Amino acid sequence: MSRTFLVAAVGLCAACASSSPSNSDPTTHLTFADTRGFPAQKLDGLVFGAARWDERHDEVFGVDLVRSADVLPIAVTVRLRGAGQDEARAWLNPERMGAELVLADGTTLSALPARAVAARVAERHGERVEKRALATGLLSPRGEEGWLYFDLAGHDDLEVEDACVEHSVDGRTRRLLLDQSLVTFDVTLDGREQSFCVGIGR
Amino acid sequence: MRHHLIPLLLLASACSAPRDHAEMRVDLEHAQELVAKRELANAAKLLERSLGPDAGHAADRGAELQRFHAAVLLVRTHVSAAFGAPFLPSARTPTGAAWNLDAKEPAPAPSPVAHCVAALRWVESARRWYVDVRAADGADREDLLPAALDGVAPRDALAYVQLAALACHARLRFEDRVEEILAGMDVLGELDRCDALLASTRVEDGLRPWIYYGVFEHWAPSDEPRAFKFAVRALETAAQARTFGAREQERLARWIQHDSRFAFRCPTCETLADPVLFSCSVCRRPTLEFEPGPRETAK
Ligand SMILES: [Zn+2]
Repeated sequence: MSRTFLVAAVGLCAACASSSPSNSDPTTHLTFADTRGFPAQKLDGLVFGAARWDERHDEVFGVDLVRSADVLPIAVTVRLRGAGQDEARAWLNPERMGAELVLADGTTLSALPARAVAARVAERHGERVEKRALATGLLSPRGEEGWLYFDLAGHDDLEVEDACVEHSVDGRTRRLLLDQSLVTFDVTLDGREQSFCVGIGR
Repeated sequence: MRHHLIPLLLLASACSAPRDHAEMRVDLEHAQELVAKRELANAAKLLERSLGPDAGHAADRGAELQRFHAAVLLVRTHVSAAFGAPFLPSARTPTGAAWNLDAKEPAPAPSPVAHCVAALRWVESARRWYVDVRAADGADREDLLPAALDGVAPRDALAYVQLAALACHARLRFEDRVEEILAGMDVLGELDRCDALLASTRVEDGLRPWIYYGVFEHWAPSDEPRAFKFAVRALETAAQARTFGAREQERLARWIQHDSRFAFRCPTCETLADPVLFSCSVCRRPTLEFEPGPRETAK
């Protein structure tokens, strides 16, 4: 039945196309930027942040943390940049910054303390997990990259395949690319907490 | 034709095969009603289910048009949630302690940010699936789309999608993305045309202050008198919608009072612009009509 409708609709096309060029249409002259995903680095006021997924993170930790510890590790850099960077006092505490990974469909994963991740793997790997975790302290213009560990435990509906997370919902699978996902956290700048978010590069 | 659709409505929920035009039309109508009733979680679920796993392959132009409108409705659903009634949970608890392993924290709060991210995913789908289906214009479109969508030109729907993306990126503070979107929409540079576009594309009230704020940030470095109008409109719409950010609100107020090179005054009585009042406190002239003058003469 629907096919007949469409044939009729196509038949109408030629007739209506010439009659309605609609120059008064407010959207006629717009062009639409094709932005995609989120930038993997950002300057927001004085705070510069960057995040990336490393598919070879097992070389960093000696173990595949997705398979062995049920966490998604993301390397994060946070530093101060711009006029006033030397006077500003910004504080970062991974245990109190409410870090979250927001997947492309809006599913959120919380960050785990490094010690909790370390407890999920062999001791020699756990030491690296703790050592390479994003550090607590005052931000400086030379902040170093550190890792945040996002918890996949309890999310049996999620499957990580390289830079893509597959999310099973109602018997269907959503393919969620990490470059359409966000890392968010709070930074305390000059005594005031502000939220920061950045996309995830590779 | 409508009576044929009633049995299809019952079929639609049981059937997981790709939707035909009539089934999809029913789903779109139902989803539209759910969005209007603010049953946003149900709307999102229905739309995603009706798009199905094979949404990448539309059977024909009619299906393409329906798929596009479904994606636009998903954008509407998630931005209505982000800037109004969020339902997706945050991973963090109200105390901010995503860390607390004791699991005695209260339930997590809903996350507007999660909805912005989800909305932007559907923005990408809507752009990819955009079809300017003149072929489906006219009488037969009602068999593809419910009445409420039937009069919406796909191009206007796409403009709405861009405005929604602009609001989300402004909310997430991705200024570069805001700039990229604004670059193609010079109509947003004039306040009255911007107002008209937001009205004609039925942009939700909650998004408006963010869109005006995004345009304000675009003009602030180069054209302060123009930026002023957008700052005032952002503050006006923020006062109505209450979905605006505290940082952004402060930024606008500080810019009007201090950071702009100009002092904005009432042309009738010279009263300085007050960011919490939208008309002159003395003569009631709208703040939008205030004019820029040199800052150094400000009292
Ligand atoms: Zn006055």
